[in-house]
Amino acid sequence: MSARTQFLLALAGAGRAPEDRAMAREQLADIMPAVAITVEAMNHAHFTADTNDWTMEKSQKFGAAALTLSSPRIQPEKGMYSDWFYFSASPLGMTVSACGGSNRAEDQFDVRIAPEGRYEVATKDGKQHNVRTYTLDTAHQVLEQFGGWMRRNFDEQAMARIQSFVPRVEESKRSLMPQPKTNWFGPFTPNT
Amino acid sequence: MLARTQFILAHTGMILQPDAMTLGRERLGDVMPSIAILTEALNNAHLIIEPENWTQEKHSLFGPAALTHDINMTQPPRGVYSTWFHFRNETGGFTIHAGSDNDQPKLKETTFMVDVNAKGSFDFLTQNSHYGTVRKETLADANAVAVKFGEWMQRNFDIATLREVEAWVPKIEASKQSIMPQPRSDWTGRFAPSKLTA
Repeated sequence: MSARTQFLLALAGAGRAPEDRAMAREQLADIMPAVAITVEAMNHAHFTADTNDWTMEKSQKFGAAALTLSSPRIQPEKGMYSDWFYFSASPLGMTVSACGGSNRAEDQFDVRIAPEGRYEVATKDGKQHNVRTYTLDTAHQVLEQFGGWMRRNFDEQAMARIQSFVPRVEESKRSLMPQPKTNWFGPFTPNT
Repeated sequence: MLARTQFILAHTGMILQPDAMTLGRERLGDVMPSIAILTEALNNAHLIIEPENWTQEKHSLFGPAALTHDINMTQPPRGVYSTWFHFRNETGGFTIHAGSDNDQPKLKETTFMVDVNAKGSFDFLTQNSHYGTVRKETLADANAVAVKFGEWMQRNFDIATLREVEAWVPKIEASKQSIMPQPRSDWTGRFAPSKLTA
């Protein structure tokens, strides 16, 4: 049973409340696609190689989509990206990591779910030292902090490039989604 | 662009904030599957006749899943349900309506309604069978809407019914999962907590 449904039943007086962490992890999953899309757009925006030289194999291995979610993490070849970014989800949180030559104050944006279900956000420098830490109540606040991290760590030009890639990345994700056999899962999306 | 992605980018100062209503609706979309599953479980728990005696046609027209999501809010034939529940997905929110053969369900609050307002907050309302307002509140968070739904269930159903609802939920969740095809890549599935639980 999903933690949210279990939570509602418990509120109604039937069954036990889910573990706070499970509930928070489910809510974090709601915002993860938007974060992962933005991270993939960052990789596109920092791509420096000439795509004419790219083979299909190279694209599958080191293209922005593959690199973003690679697990274990793949390091791109020299000259492919000026900087590159990983998004990783774990049972208790998510991490966005920046790599490359830029002198960025905060290389990492890390979210851990505390036992009581709150979100512990830490940004870290290249030596893994905490730069900023926050404890947040909602996944939506995590999203705000992620936007703040971007604002502090990218210049306006990079931001404009990232922004221009977002709709294309979103579209490519949609094209990977098959049509469900019924429209059950579709009705709740605001776009339908 | 997803309202949430726009929200991230807006925090960088590059673009405008998404329309508050659009963002609110996207957030409401997160909690709606759980609420719809529970509504369908309510229909299962209020079914009077044995489904084995149903024809395929009757089942596809008036079975709990069909009835829950019936956009025309069809009334089932008499004697099929003691009370039935329609879950209606709307552009600006959602509504749950309870009905019965007597047109007077025993519930104190027969309608549970949520509308996303222009500020992106959630206007929640319950009504009695005469459409008189019973409870009304504006909520800041979609999770608070879910809490209101849990409390609505607690006020309007006895423990025996809630136990039945609880028993139905895993079966309904499994049936919803079974009608989901596998995506061509694992992109969409990889953030689901169930895939990551250690």
